[in-house]
Order: sequence, then C-alpha cells, then structure tokens
Amino acid sequence: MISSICKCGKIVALERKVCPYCGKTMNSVEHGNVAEILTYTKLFTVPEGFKSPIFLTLVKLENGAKLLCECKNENDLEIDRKGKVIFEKEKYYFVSTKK
Amino acid sequence: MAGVYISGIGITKFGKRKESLQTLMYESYAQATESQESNFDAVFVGCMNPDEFVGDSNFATLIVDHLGLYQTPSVRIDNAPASGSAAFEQAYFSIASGHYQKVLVLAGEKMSNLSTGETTRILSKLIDKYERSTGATMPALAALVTRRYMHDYGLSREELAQAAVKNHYNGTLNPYAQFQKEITIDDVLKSKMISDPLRLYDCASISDGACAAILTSKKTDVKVSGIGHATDFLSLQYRDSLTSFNATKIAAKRAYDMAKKSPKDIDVAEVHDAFTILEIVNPEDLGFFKPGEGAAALIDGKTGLSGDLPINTSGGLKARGHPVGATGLAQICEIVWQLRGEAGKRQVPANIGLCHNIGGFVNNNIVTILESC
Repeated sequence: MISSICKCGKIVALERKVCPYCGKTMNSVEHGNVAEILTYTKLFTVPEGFKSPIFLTLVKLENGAKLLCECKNENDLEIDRKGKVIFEKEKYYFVSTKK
Repeated sequence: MAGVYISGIGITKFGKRKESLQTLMYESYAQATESQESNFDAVFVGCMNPDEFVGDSNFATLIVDHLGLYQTPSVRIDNAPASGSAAFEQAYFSIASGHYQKVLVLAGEKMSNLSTGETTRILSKLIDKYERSTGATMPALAALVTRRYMHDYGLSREELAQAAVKNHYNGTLNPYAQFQKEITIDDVLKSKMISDPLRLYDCASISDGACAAILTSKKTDVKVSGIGHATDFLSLQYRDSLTSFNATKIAAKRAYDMAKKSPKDIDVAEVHDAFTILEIVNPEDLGFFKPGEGAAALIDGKTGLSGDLPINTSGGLKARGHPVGATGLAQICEIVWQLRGEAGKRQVPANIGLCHNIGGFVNNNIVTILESC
C-alpha cells in the first residue's frame, strides 16, 4: 500500500505529487494494508460501463489516510469493521479479517 | 464598492421540457424584462455542461445571438451545479467594481434529452478521477455521508424521508416546480433504491429549466448584501469530516461577514438539497442549528412554512427540480419573491434571505444574502 506524506504532517492515500492541504511536494511511503470501515453504501444505479450493485466503502488506513474502494463481501459492510485493503485487477478492495 | 440591486427576475417551469435550452432562457429573460426592450452592459450565463447535455459549445455567444443582444459582452460560467450562483456572483462584482451599471444573468440546463445512464455518467465527472474509477456516483457519495451521519447522530430513515415530504409539500404551492404532488414518508421508503440508504425520492430529479435576473447599480427594493464563496477538496478522501462540509461553513462566514449579519438574522433560506441528507447537514453548516440538530429542526417544523426559519419554500431541488446550471439562480428568484411578498401561497414573513448553492460534491459552494430595502 502506498500513501503520500507531506512535511506539513498530512498523509493521503495513493501517490500524489502536490499536497492538497498546503501545496508543498509530497513523498511516497509504503505501509501496511490494515484498514477499518468509516462508512459504506450499496450502489445500485451505476454509471454506464459498471455492473450493479457496487459495494463501496470509505476506509481509514493504518496511517490515518482515507481510501474509497470496493468491498469484496456485502456481509462485511459495517461501520468500524476491521480488515485489510488488497489490490486486484487494477482495483483496491476491502476485505474483512473478522470471520 | 457600489451597491448592487436586483430588478427583474424570471423563471421557467422546471421539469421535462421540449423546448431548446436557448428557448427556455428566452422565456425567463422575457419574464425578467417584462418583454420590454432592454440594454445590458454584459450578459453572464450560468450553465454547467451544454457541450454534453445539448451538444452546443460557445453558448455565451449563442445566447446573446438568440436574444438579439449581439455586441453585448457575454461569458458562460461553469461552476458545476453552482453555475447559476457563480454567474450571479461574477455579475455582482462587475457592478460593485463600478465597471458596469446594468447586467443580465441567465442560468439554465437542459438534461432530460439524455438517458439516465448517460446523465449519471456526465454528473459523475464532477467527482475526483480515482474515486470515479470505483464506480462512485454523486448519490453514492451522498449515501456514504448519510450512513455516517445516521451512525454518529442516530438519524432514522423515516426522519430523513421527512425532508423530501416537506419539500414536496412546498412544491405543490410553487407553480414553477417540477413536482406538484404531495408525497408521504411511505412513498419515500418504497421508492427505488439508488444507493443504500438513499432511494429515488431522496435524490433531486433530472430536469430542464432556466432563470434570469437583472442586476443594477440603481436602488431597487432588493439589495445583494453578501456573497461568500469557498472550495473544499475534490476528493472525499481528503475531507476531515464526513458529516459536515467546510466549503459551506467558510462560504457562509464570508457572506455573513460581508453582509454584517449572523445566522439569527436570516428569515428564509434556500439550501441545496440535492439529496435529503443535505437538507439536514446544510442548515447545520450554515449556523442555523448545532451539529446533529438539523433533523430535529425539520421534524419539529422549524424549517416548515410556518416555522421560525422556513427552508426551501420553493420546494428546493427535490421538488422544484434540479437543472444543474439553473439551480443557484432559481434559489435567488425564490428569495426575491419572498422578500417582495410575491411568493403566493408559500409566502412567509421575510426581510433577509439566504441562498446556498453547491458545486460538485459539496466542494465549490456559494452563499448569497439578499435583503429588502
């Protein structure tokens, strides 16, 4: 998992050159993929080119940055659910570590 | 700075219209000018995406040509669904600076000639590219906010539905509203699921419509007292809060400071209820209610027509309809009618009114304060 970190103290998920908070140059950092669900939705009316439904979740990564991604399993959609983010077929997914 | 006042205003009926966008704009223009010949120093046109919705670009030129106002300076302003209020804002500055004395603001959109899938795709382009790549739509982002708000503040699904019920009732009293029919909480809860927990009746409609306003340096009975504008991160991932929006808070503070007013001074407000959750969050961010108390204010009737602070007397985006580029100016038209005592059956007592228009997913917001004088 890659995030971008700025001297101003802000961290954002994924690679980004310019800090959205202060405009300074950001550096990439690698970190673990532990994550927790902040919120979620089951999206039924999807844009052209997507298959319905999409299980979307906004997760908090272990470094505090947030990431919007799909959730592999509908049953994992619960606020505060803990798990990890995996990268598969060019997409990020949340998977719960709780059975 | 020169004082800026509103003289004529005009609005078309919103909804599925067969006329072209320029014909709709002409209709609102004729109403604003009362079909009298008018000369304007400039024309400001708020329209989000005529290129994709109707297949026309260079729309600022097209419209002055269509209205017979050729040679008049004209510019189109795209500020996402805050294009109408952004055009109004730029028109305001052009007079406040002393450069112009009388300008025309037009705002509109024609969306209904495309399929829902195509329209959803166009509107999804308002979202950050990475977030869009997940399939996220505007209703999906609103649903993420709704889910978190329900979790943090105990908002129930039924309470949320009341926002749509209230605004549909107001819409029945507005002859220009797209929807003229009352709905029940049950209707909302049984409507098609769009993005859980948001259903069809939680979302503003796809609509066509246009509005016009004439701004002038000559004193009239309605003054523009404050305009505040602020942006937030394009991406939801960067926002500090999921239940409150900084762009609204900052824009509101700037508008209140400029107008030398506070939230307590506002008698009536039009807020950008593109989704029912926004009817609850926006009034909190505008300082009318404390965080978490927006739903109680709605349920207790404080924001109803006979409440202390009527909100969306026009029916809001939900019932008036949401032709994206038109909405900001439609809000201004409603507040002008309220201040002039011309709002018919939905009239409320008002001397000071506020409009809150959102661009993108609550990240380019404009707050405008109007005052009787």
